[in-house]
Amino acid sequence: MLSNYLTTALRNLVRYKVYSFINILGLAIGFASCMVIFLYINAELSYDKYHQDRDRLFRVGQMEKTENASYFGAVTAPPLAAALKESFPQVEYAAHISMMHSQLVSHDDRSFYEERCLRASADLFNILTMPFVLGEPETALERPYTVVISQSAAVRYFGYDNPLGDILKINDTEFEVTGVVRDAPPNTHLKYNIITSLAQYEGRPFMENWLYHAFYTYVKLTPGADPDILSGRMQRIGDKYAKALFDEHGYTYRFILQAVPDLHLHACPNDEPEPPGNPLYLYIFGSIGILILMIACVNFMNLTTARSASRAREIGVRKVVGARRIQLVRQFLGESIIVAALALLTALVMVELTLPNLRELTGNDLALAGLLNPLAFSVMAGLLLVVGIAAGGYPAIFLSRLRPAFIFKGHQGTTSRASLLRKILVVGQFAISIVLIIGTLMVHHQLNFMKNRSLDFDGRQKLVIPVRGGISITDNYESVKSEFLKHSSVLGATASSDVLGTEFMSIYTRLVGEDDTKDQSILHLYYDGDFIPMHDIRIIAGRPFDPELGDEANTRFLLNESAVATFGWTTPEDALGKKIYTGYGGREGEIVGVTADFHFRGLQNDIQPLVMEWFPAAFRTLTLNVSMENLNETMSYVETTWRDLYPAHPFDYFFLDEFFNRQYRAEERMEKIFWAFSLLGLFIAGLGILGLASFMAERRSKEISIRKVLGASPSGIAVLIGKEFLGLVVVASMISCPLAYYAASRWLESFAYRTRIGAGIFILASILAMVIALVSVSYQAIRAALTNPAQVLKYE
Amino acid sequence: MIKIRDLRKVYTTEEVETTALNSVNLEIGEGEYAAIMGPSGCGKSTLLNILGMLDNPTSGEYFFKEQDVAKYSERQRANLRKRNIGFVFQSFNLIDELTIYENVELPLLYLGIPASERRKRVNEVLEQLQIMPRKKHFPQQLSGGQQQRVAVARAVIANPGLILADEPTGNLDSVHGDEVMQLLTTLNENGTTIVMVTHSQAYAEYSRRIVNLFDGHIVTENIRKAAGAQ
Repeated sequence: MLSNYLTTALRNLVRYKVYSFINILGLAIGFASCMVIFLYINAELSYDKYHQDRDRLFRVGQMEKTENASYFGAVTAPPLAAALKESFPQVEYAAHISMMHSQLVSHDDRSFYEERCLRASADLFNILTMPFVLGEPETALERPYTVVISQSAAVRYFGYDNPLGDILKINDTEFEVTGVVRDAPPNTHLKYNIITSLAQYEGRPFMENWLYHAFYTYVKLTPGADPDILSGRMQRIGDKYAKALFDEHGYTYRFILQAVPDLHLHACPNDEPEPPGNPLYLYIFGSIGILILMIACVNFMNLTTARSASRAREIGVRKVVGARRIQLVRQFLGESIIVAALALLTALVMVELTLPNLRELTGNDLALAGLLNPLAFSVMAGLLLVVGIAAGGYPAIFLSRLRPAFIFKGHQGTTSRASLLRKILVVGQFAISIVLIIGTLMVHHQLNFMKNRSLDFDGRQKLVIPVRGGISITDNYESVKSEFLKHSSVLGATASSDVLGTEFMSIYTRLVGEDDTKDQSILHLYYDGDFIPMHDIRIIAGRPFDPELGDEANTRFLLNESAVATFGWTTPEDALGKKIYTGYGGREGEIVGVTADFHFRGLQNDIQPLVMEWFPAAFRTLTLNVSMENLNETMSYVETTWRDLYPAHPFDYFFLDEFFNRQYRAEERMEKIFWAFSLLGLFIAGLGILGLASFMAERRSKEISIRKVLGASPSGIAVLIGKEFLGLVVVASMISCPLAYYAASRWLESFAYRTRIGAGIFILASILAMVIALVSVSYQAIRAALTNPAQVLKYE
Repeated sequence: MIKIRDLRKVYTTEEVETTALNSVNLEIGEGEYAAIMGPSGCGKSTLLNILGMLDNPTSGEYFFKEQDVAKYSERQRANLRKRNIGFVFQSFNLIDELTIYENVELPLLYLGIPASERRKRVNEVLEQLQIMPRKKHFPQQLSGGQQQRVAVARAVIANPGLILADEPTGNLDSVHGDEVMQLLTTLNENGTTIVMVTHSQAYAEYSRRIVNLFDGHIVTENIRKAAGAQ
């Protein structure tokens, strides 16, 4: 019996090639979309799942509170790790690590700036899984000035020689290589190239300072230990060691355990070592995958029920010769599962072919291998069954219900109820497609809005040179600047702590005279006297920094408008002359000016309060204002000058505006993904309509011919067929516009600065859907309109 | 074999009620050969469909082999049908996607007959009806007469006691029509009960009894002495 079903199914597929092609292609695209999204979601969920004993691994975060502010950060004080291990038997290992800014690492004549350099205590390797290729994890970081490097770093500096015992220079300090570990996998929240020992800092005051928040603290619990109980007990563990210090500073805190495998998607809002994932995007993309698959399923249902007329006779015959209804249901479900399986295979090929583009699009290291595991297999098998049953279920039930007596009397398999259902499904398909198009247009608009809106500072023609690898420009930044300014195309130069568009340091700040319970965590930016004029930042009260007035030597501050508000002053002028105290180095000084708010972060974010100071000790960046004429020549001058100044340090640069726009990468990626999926959705829906239209033209051939005999023109006939589908698309757009409006406004809420949702987007999306529908229908409509009525009516 | 009493069949649509059969009483004994005649729309096919349990009567009694089947569920009817009744239709109703062999084999599949037994029986029947050389062809590759022979083969493959033929010659020329009628006669001679709907007086003459229907009623019945003579 099975082989009979199989034979019938396959012969049907071959006989109705166009329908089969539409069904399989549509479903395959739907499956492929789902697979890609599954791979992406799976990659996001796989973060840090590879660690051994991962259920016992935690990072300790810290919630700080003052009267005015609260701050949840991932970094804690250096003594915390040892304190946890000493105080709680359920803590088996505890390690603290700190991230270093990019370091200049060299060996012989090879030197590179290395990102992702850590300093770590020896227990790190007992907690996180970092497999050693060479060296001993137990002892690798025990001694001072030792370093463990990743395999690719080892190749970079030592080729394929054994580097153990060799010397690596990191910012002019020599470290002995004591271990080589495998490269960090892409799916970890803590990536590393270079890990140096912390032993050389032992006994230094900062290592004992409970208020020095610069270290990530990791713990591994003993087997069976309950993290909730530990979490409750350790919240105030610092009091045991430094209560007096905390009381003195009015400092309130609470330690919080965060499971390591959760860190990527449920990250700390502050101080994460890598940009974390966003669970919202997982939901959005997951929903898109399901919607696309639904569109494809609808095609399947529609074409199968539409075609039931041609299967009706077979059903009648099977019933007459003894088939029970359940046998027919099984047969048709089986057929749809066969089609779904063919589509699934096609989808696998599609995914494999498009993977390179998808890796670029999603920024994830996706691989088809991600589908070769029991979970993916069961998901695919589940998908196959669900789609097979969902798409084939209705036709199966519908077809098996047909009565042979009716069929043989010439009643066709379709009923008005079935055709109503088909219409509803087409409306649903187009509604989904229109929602996706509106989503795409919305993301596009918001991106354009963010990229084109004035940032209230001038970011054009700014060449940024990071100063790193142990170079300090604290004492000579003016002379360094003047070397570059010798070229006539270098129009200006300024030194600063950070680049606009990066995360600034957040430091406790209060008014002088107030006690430290009033501390507020405020962002700080440090720069010299040329920064404000070069970036064209507006001063709305007081004055900018002025070298003539001794702003460098005397601690003086500028605030932005938002900072004025957080201190409770009503006008910018109120701030002038007031003195503030800032925790970084514990300095006091007068506020001499207030700038207008400018966007130092992407427009996703509100403008936050900002304190600015002329403080050369923090300078790590040079920015040159360069003329765009003869840029190549200017660039080579700048590079030569850098090499003359710092022969050991590679030259590295970027342009500020490009760098700033990198903050919109997530949105750019989302736009591309939306584009891809809404086009796919429309394509599948269009295919479906194409199939339905050809079916309709076939079914109505007699009606069309009679109309023609009675004098209908070909264009009139084409309109007759076209308008039916157009009506459905109009209904779809009426349903989808409010839905899309709701979703778009929810999404836009996550942006501090957002575009308006205009009617244009909705109209454009609806028109696009109508055009697709018309194009899909037109071929059939025209063909039907041009058929010779005599031929059709002869057969009737 | 068949006993019908006071049978009524009414078709109801949203606006109209059409009585297809009204107070029909009919008995057909084992081994009989009956032809049902009448003009278009008189209820012939409806009667045949009810006899074949493809449709339920609106009211009345229907005894098939002493069982009251008028109120049987679809499943019960399917069960009874596949063991006892073979159908031959005017438009052959072969499944286009299946070969001749597979078409003929189909009833045996639904009866759950083992493969070796099926092969034997299908080959026998195909041989008998002289369509063996065509067994790998698809229906569209055969002439109308050949297709109807395949349909007859399919109707008899499960050795049913009753064959219901709905205008079996309607789509055939006279040569092929005669062939099919001969086939049915032979089956009847071998003991199969046959009920045939036909428009053709000539073909009705093959039967031993002619039932004339008009407007849903049986108007006359002629019992004939011998079958097969034209």
